[in-house]
Order: sequence, then structure tokens, then C-alpha cells
Amino acid sequence: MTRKSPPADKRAEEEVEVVLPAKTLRHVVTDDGRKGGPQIDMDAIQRAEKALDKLSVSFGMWMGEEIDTLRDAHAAAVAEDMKGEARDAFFRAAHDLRGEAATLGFPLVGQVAGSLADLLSMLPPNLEISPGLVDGHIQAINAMIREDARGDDNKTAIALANCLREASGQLLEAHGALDNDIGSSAETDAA
Amino acid sequence: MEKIDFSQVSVLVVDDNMHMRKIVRALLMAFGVRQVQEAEDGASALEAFEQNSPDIIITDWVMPIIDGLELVQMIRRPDSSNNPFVPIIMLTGHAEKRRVMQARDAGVHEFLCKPISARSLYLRLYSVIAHPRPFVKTTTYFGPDRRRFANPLYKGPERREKRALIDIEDEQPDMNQIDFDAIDAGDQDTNQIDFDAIDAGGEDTNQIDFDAIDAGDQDTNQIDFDAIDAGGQEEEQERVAV
Repeated sequence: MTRKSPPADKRAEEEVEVVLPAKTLRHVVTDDGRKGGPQIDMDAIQRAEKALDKLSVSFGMWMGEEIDTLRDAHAAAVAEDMKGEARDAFFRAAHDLRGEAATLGFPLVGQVAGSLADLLSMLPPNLEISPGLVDGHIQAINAMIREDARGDDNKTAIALANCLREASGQLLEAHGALDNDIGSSAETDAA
Repeated sequence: MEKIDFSQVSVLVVDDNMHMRKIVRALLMAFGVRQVQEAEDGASALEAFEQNSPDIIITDWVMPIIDGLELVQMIRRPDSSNNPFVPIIMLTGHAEKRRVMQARDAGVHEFLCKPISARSLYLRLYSVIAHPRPFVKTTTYFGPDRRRFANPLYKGPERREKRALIDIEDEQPDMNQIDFDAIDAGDQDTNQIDFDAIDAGGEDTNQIDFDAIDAGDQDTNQIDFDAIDAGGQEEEQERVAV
């Protein structure tokens, strides 16, 4: 069944069509006969948390692999003058670490990786990033892993992460590349 | 009382990071999902999507060649995609507002920032399964209805006519779906949040405070189906297509 009508006002020049998908996933919602709508299954969430906990025995090794990937990508990007696909791959490695490190137990590493990823993605590709600043991020991550700085309460690691975030932010701001919402990203990284 | 039977749901997990795919798979299987397929980039995800028609897609954003955003745009092509309505959850390390808006405008159902947690993933799955949204098609957008909330304070013009174009296709509408006829028959203006106005510089009231949701007991992002089932007026709930 289809119904059409003209737009409601001059602003709405385009036709708006609302479509009900023929297939939804509502059929997987089961009813036990008691009153009430869909419930959040806390047992399922607890099972998943346990599954994640079981998986966590591998997190240290996975973190090591991610750091190796970042180091290799950094070396390749340096060899290519921080240009082209090598730079993109370096960004992806840093960005992956930003997203994954907190889950693997190293949120402050994630914060530093996020700062590095922002440098690589937000600055114009033709702009030379200070090698010292990039190296500083890599060295900080190496140090945090070496010192096994898990969690978010290692004071030295916090100071290091904040210092690098500030330096990156200043560079991004100087080139008009600072995302207005970068704070939210940083907060998420640190969470 | 209703519960989700995840054993009947198939999920495609798209992420170039093997460890993240393992984590998401472990969480999904703990929820009860039996069919989890993985793809390590956008291209192989498209192939898996065409061949296996997963019920839900969870995709990373940053991937080589075809990234997550491009993947969503390719799937949300009603003329060429084999299921342009498939629920898509964007799971990404990006947390900036502009990224969330980009993903929303590409047609994702839910946006989930890394680091991932069991609860946050469950809530996004719960949202797309238990509260399916109608789709909106314009010349510039095809995707789930971006208006999640009725804004009682909205006073501007309505872009959507009271007689919206509805294509119910060949099947009878799901009784759990929003009843457009009932809404059409209502005499109240169902004011919506005007995202265009918001995008033009207003406050971003469309952003769901996932942190607050995750931190709290209530899923404030959802339609209150309990109230609807109990006989309440749907017009007091989410408003659509007017």
C-alpha cells in the first residue's frame, strides 16, 4: 500500500517516504506469558562479562601484538616520509589501539594512541609532523607497556598521556585542525 | 515478559582488527547468538552480506579500501542492495560528534564507541531487535527514522505530511510496528525534533547520551512498549511520519 501527498511546506521540496520494513527481528522476541514488554536480560550480560573475563588471559599477548603492529607501521611510515598508504596504515594501527587498548586493560595507552591517531588524521597530509612528537607518542606507549601500566591510575602514565595530548592539541589548533569535539574523544579514551 | 532469543539471530562482524572481532564474537556468543560471521574489510563484508543475508551487521569505521561508512552507504541503496533495511551498528574508536552525525546520516541504527562492554553491546542489539524503526527515504537519505523522540517544545513547520507515503510491501504490517493509520487519525500535531535545524547550528539534541544510558538502569532511548502493551496511547510514545 502506498500513499503520497505533497510536501507540508516550502522548505520541504523533497518528497519524504516512510517505509515499514517487511521483515523485522521482532519474531525473536519470546514471551513467557507474564505481563511486560521486552526486558534487558541481565543474565546474558553477566554471561558476556564472564566470557570477556575468560578471554582476558590473552589480552597481554594481544596487546603485545598490537604494539608490534604499531611499531612496524611507524617504521614503514617513516621510510615513506609519512606519506601515502604507509601513513594511512600507521593511522589505522594507532586508531585500532585507541579503540582496543582500554578493553585489553590499558586505557592510558589507548589515550596516547588516540592522540597520535588524531595527529595523523586531522593534520593536512602534506604537512610534516614533527618526528619528535610522533616518536614521543611511540616511546610513551612502549614505556607504558614496559612498566605494565594497566588501569587508569598510574600517575606517571597519566602525566605522560596528558602532556602528549596537550602538545598534539596545540599543533592541531595551530593548523586549524582541532576538532571542536576532540575533548569528547579524549574523555572516551580515558574512560 | 518478553526476552530476546538470540539463537535465531545471525550477525556479521566487520572489523579489520582480529582481536576486536574475537572480542565481539565472544560477547555475541555469550548472549546466545549462534551464527556469527566475520569479515576483515568492507569488500569481504559486502560479499558476506550478499551471500548470507545476516540479520544484523556490526561494523568498524576505519578499515582499508572500503571503510565502514562506505559499507553502510552501499548497503543502504534500496535499488541495488538485497536488504537495505538490515540493522547496522557502528562500533568505532571515533567519538566526535561530527562522526556520530556522519554515521547517522549514512543510515546506521546505532553508534557504539569503543571501548566496548557487554552491556553497551547488548543495549544496541536490544534496541534494533525489540524496537525496530521505520525507514525514511528522501532524495538525500535512506535509513532508519532519525527522529527517536517526540519533542513537545517543537513549534516549527512539519516536513512530513500527515499522509506520509507508506510502502508496506506485500506483507501485513507487524502488529508491533507503529500504527501510522492511528497516528494519521489523531488530531494532534506530532511534533518532532528538527534535525536539519539542529544541524544548522542548534543544539544537538539528537545525540543519545550512551554513557548515561550505560551508567543507568533505564534504557531511556527506547519506546516504552510496556506502556503501549498495557493499553496506553501510542501517540504519547515515539512519533513518526507526520
